[in-house]
Amino acid sequence: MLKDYFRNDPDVIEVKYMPKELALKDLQESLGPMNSVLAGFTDNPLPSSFELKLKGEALDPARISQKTFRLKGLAGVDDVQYGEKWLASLFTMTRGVKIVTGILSVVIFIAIAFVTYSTIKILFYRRIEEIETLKLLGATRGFIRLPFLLEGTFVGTAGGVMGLIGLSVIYSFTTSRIIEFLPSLRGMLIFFPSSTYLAAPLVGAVLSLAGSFLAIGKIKY
Amino acid sequence: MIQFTEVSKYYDNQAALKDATFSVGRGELIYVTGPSGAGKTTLLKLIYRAEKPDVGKIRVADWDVGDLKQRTIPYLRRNIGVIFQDFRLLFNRTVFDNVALALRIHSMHPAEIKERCLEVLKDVGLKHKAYDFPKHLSGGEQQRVVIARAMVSRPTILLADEPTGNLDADTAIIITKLFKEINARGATIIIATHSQGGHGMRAFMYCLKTAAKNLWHEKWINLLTVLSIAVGLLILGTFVLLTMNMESSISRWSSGFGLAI
Ligand SMILES: Nc1ncnc2c1ncn2[C@@H]1O[C@H](COP(=O)(O)OP(=O)(O)OP(=O)(O)O)[C@@H](O)[C@H]1O
Ligand SMILES: [Mg+2]
Repeated sequence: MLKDYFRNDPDVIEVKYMPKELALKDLQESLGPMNSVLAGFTDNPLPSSFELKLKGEALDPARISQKTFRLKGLAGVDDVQYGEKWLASLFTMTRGVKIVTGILSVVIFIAIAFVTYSTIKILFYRRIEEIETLKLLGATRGFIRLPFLLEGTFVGTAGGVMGLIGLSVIYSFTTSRIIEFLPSLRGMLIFFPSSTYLAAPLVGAVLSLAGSFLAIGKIKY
Repeated sequence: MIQFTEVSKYYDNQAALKDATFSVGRGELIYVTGPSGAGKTTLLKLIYRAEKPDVGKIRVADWDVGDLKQRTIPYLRRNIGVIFQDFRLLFNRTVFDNVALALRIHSMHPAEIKERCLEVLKDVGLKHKAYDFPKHLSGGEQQRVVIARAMVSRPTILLADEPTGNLDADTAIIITKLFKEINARGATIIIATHSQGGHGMRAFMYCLKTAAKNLWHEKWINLLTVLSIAVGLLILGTFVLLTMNMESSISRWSSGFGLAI
């Protein structure tokens, strides 16, 4: 049986059998009032089919075309369809965006740490007189450094929150626009991942803390 | 309590203090006198380790001050109250906060800090100006804030550099009486002074200069930083979301993988 063959394939997550009668009914329903066009057919023009859902790592274009070739050779299989062109270009595009994102994250992470580093350095030199007095009063290194670390972390968290707000505004705006034009993409666009709400302020805070730490790390005392 | 043994301090090969040997016992109150430039301030700075001796040995309580590790310096200074000749008040904080700072570095309880600060401000006759900023105070009032700050932590050693230089005769007497009182409670006190005044002007001008510092700018610096971080994360987030959406659309695409039989 074909179904068992698919079931045993480790790349396949889900197998759905679509008999031709059901396929016709589906089509009729989706055509709605226009289903009279199907009245001209005495025979059911649609084939029975299997729909396979594959694992993410099996979606590499090379593997897919190999698999298609193998499936086509099976007895009883007339045709194998998938959006090969679409999938391949989406795949290369995703890979490109992924690389850009990777490089960008390194650059931006360093930039955030550096921006806080400079800010804390500036603030430090502006308050050098105050720090000198604190030292003369007997303040420890920790007592002097703590406000700067807190300030840096606060600035980073605030930056993260603001970035998050901007991001969600842009996201909801663009997705609503896209869905307006291509309603079929509705299911494809994943929801704004909730982990972002934590990640953005956290990334800002951690990087800024690191930046401020570097900025005041060399205070001689 | 304080012991100098053949101590010398040079600034640019010029001796500010040469071969000083003396000792001050616990609970003594002594005056260091001499004309301007004699090295009085230098002597006091050597005690609280704002300067290091070039030659000789300095002992304060159990510390070998010349040899102190950087990390231990704060703990030496916590036992020493200093009335700085140049005041060293923080002009962006109120009188109360300036005094409280000397206790906050000990991480004392806020309620106790408040009580002790107000008490010592009353002693120097400035309780009614506790929440004013130092720049609105006269030279003599500022000096009394410095005195309050030096005394509030009840140090075992009090170093007073020209403590009555800006005060009128009556206030000077009150302050001197105050020194005698804390000396009676067991503190060791060294007062540096020269007979005639004249330093008031310089100290006051110094204060005016620092008062001009504008703290408002710091907010803008911070805001700018916040904005740049926000923009950075915004750009990055856009790309991350784009990647995630593209990946999810690939995996959703797989459900459309159909076979016709
Ligand atoms: N940081 C410094 N750099 C260079 N020279 C200094 C420094 N501090 C003090 N001196 C010099 O050391 C000498 C002693 O200065 P010091 O401040 O100890 O005098 P003083 O007795 O306190 O005088 P005054 O009564 O005017 O306060 C002066 O000649 C001064 O110019
Ligand atoms: Mg002096």
